[in-house]
Amino acid sequence: MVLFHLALTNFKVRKVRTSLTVAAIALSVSLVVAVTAGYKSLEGMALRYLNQYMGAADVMIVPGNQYTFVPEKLVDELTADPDVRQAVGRLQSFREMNRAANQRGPARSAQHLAAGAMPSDKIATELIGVRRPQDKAIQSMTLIDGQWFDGSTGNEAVVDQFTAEKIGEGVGDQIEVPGINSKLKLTIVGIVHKPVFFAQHSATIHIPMETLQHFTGADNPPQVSSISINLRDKVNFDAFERRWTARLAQVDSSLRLRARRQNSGELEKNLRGVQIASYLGGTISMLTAMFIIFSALSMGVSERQRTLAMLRAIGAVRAQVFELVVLEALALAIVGIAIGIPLGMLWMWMLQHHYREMFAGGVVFSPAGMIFGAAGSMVTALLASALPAWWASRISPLEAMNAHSVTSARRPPIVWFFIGAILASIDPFIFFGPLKQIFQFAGMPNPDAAVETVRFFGHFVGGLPGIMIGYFLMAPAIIWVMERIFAPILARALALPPKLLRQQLSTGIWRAAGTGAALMVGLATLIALQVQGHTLIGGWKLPDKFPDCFIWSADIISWKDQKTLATTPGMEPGSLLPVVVTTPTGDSKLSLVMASVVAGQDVGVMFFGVDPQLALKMVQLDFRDNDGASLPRDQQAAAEAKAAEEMKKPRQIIVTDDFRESRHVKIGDTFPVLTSVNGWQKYTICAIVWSPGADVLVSMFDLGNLMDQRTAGSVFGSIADAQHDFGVTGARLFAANLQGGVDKADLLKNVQKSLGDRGLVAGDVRQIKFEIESGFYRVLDMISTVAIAAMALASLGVANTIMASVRSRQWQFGVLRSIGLGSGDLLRLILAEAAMLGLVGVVLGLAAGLEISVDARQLSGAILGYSPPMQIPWRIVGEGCLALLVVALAASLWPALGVARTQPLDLLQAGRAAT
Amino acid sequence: MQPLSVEKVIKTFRQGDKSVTALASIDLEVQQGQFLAIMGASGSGKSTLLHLMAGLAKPDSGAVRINGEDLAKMPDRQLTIFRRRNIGLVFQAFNLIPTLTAEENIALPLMLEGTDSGAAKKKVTQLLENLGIADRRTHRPDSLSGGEQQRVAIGRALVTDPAVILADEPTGNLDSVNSRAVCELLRDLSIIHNKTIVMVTHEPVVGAFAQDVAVIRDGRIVDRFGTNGINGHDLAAKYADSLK
Repeated sequence: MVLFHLALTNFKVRKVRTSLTVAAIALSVSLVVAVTAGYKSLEGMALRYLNQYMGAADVMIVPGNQYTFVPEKLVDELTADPDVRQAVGRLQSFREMNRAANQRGPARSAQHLAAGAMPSDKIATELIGVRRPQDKAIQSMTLIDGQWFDGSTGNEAVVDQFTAEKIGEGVGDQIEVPGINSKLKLTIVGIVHKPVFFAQHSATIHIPMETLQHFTGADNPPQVSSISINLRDKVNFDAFERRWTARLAQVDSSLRLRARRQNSGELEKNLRGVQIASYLGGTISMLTAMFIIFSALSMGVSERQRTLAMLRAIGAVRAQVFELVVLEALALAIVGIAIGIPLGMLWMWMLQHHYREMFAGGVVFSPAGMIFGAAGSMVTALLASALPAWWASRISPLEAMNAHSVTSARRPPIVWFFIGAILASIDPFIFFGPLKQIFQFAGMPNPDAAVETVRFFGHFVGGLPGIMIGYFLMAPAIIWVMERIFAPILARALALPPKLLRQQLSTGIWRAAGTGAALMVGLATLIALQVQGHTLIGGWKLPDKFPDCFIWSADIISWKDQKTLATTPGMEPGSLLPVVVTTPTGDSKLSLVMASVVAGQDVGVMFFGVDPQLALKMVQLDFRDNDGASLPRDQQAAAEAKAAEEMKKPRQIIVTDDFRESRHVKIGDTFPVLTSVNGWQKYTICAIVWSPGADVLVSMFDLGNLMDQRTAGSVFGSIADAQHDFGVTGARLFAANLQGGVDKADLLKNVQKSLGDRGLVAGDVRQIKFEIESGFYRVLDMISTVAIAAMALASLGVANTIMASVRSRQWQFGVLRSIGLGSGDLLRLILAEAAMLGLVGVVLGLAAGLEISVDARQLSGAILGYSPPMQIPWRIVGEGCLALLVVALAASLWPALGVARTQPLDLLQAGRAAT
Repeated sequence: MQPLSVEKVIKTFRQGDKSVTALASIDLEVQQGQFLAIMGASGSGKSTLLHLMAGLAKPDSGAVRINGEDLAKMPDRQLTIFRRRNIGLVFQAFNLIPTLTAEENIALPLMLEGTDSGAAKKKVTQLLENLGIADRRTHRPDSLSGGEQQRVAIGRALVTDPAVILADEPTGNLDSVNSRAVCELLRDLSIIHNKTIVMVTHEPVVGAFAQDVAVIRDGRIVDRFGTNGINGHDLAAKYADSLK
């Protein structure tokens, strides 16, 4: 009780500092609450929309992958099942529709187009076949104009409000849906409301089922994309599942039964990247708050040395003094949490009010997020209090007898520097140290797998925290050195006597270290994110020999329709190369990566099916040997011919050199590939290649999604194997060469127009690269806002530190002012200290950020099989450093102006009273 | 058993590359109820001796015993608790907690001990009355005069009913009126309440309030004599003689 009382009274004396520290905690907690609520609201909106739209199906029948369908005859069988209340099939297809002239996509300036941007006159549209009047679930969508069609045939359509706006048509208007061989003319009879978040990603046109089946060629026999099933009450679900799993295996072994919880599980998986980002943002803000708390506590300990010594003198044992500081930290955290949680809720309500469409499903708060924010803050407060509490407990009671004096560090704190260096070395050791040899020495059966697991988990559990805490512990020594280097420079720049700036920071070296570390967190995060992002994307080189253009369709183009596609004017005959891309389970790429890492084994690779002979002719490939070295030039042609021959055989694959390195395979090895039709099958590696073109192909499907990275592995096989083992019935992606002897740019434009009329998009590799890069950088910048928020949060720590520094030197300032230092000089003196703090943050942030980037690159190579040369976006790094300095200066302005305006006598009196 | 005894205590300090002997084999005994003033010039070792008596520092050799217990042999935790219960400290700079009231400052050792708040309050109230500052109980140090602050500090030193009270220049920050009041208080504690008090001072006027004076020079006790009611002026002369 006495300790709590002492802590409370201490807060009352240092009201501003306490408020700033509590504010930092509250802001970090509110950020966690708001961001996790944002994710939860998004998920809730998605689920609600899906439930509303799909009628909250208890179970669904879905195909094995994106290339296959579900026979519609199963709907009748299901309807006849006594356990089924309702079964509804829907068919999905995709087209690129023309936008209205005044509804063009993202602005594409002349420079954008020159750099490779594609004209954005299309909008990706989902066509949904609906069997009416049986499908009543569709009526749950709110009609805002017109009405629903009543039959399963006819040329009517119901669109969502976003689509109506973008294509510039309304009820009663006619639209044309492009197809490979023909166009489908429809009349809009109704407009429904779809949450803008979903409508923006996929505009929708609802069409009578049989009309769409006929248009897409899915009518013989009639097929659908999925069947939604609502069961009667009190049905034994396990029995139903067993019965229908057996039935589906008879119809098509790739068909799957997915329960509602799996549906939400799928949604969760797809939103997993957003969820991870939301918790990552929270963690970074709490880390920043931790250093701010540390700084505040260490200031409190150093200012109360005499009081704490007196406590020891009159009989407080070390443990009691230790507890006092820890109690202060916990009290600050509790108050911060109590303010932060409602504050986070307030942010969300304000956002909801402002962005109603985004939160059409309402705001959903995440209890897990709140618990994470609260528990995380308590943990960080405890960690932050450890050192100051220990220092406080080591204060000698003899110091109660001494006059109060502030001594600066005469020597740099070398011991802490070395401890910090050891901690910061954990991560590099994980990636560059002799782990494999250690595991081999320890007799582990599979040292390579152990190394991968240790690298992945070790990086996040030990490496990253080690870097952050390590640099914090190194900070005092770095400050000591930086003061001696930069103080004279700053003094000259600000026209101040150099001796005045000497040891400004080192008189409160640990409070400066804590603040510097708080500033470091944001900058290091920004650097790490941006370097990783730019490295992944920036390493692309455009290939020399590569198809002239790529064509992609949102919908599957059957083998039959591909013959029509191949006759597109401008295209070189015989050069249409279909590229089939599939995974064994249809899971998202990130799920494959995460599952393979957590499971410690392959759960599937991405399979690219091509016509091997045509592909080898069209794409520049560099054949490698089993050690990854390029084959001599005179052996390349022979290697290509051999690969072409081998690929004619069943279950042969070509792998990239990255794959070889990460999987430790060689030519002739068999490699297990999980297929959706035939389960695990052994494929033989017939060649190892490298090609920037392969990167483009892989990246097109990897980097279009949020947070996706390179897959756990990609292999190139034949179309025949893709059909046999993965059940593909067509392709969405094609490469093609343009006719020779004509201007390629003009020809491409003609091809684009011709294909565009059929609902397809075409572009050359430069354009693809631009689109993917632009999308990726947009996501990267969005994620980087977490780092900016952390830097802003750190400004509270700067304000705290500067105020404490000013307070402890009031008497000194009073003396200086009395003997002639001007108020402007005093202002610059304090701003110089803030600038030094900012510089400390910059140095720490640069060092930590670059170290994390180097290690993260190794992580990419170790886990994901891809390790491109590091690309550092120096402009962005420079902007980050500058932002940090601005933050530091801005945060110090208020205390600096305050003291500069104070009269000398007041400073002297206040300074004496403080001692 | 004497409440306080110092036996052949030696204490040295390092100053740069030199070793300085602060105390050179000091022997001293203080009887129950005795009020001893230790006088000496600046740097004579008197404060160091007091620190050793309080257990705030340990001698290089020798023993400091309070109620027969050798402080030098105790580990830190045991020593701290022993000091809390058996030694009352009065500092020159008062050293009150600025955020606590007068009564809270006095009660602090009892709170650290975990004493029941009711019992503590009773004891503190009694002390406040005895010290003549009951009407200032809810005031914080910044609204107390120097004399009042020192009374609070004395109250804090007395609250655990210690075996010994050690005062380090208790009048150093007080004016003459308050100095006299504090000295009289200490004398009354010794005579009336049989408290054992050791006071370090360099002022003969203050030393005259004690029963005994020990003169320390260059780390050695060079003289010890009773004051027998002599005034400060005479004490100053005697003190000067001791130093010759």
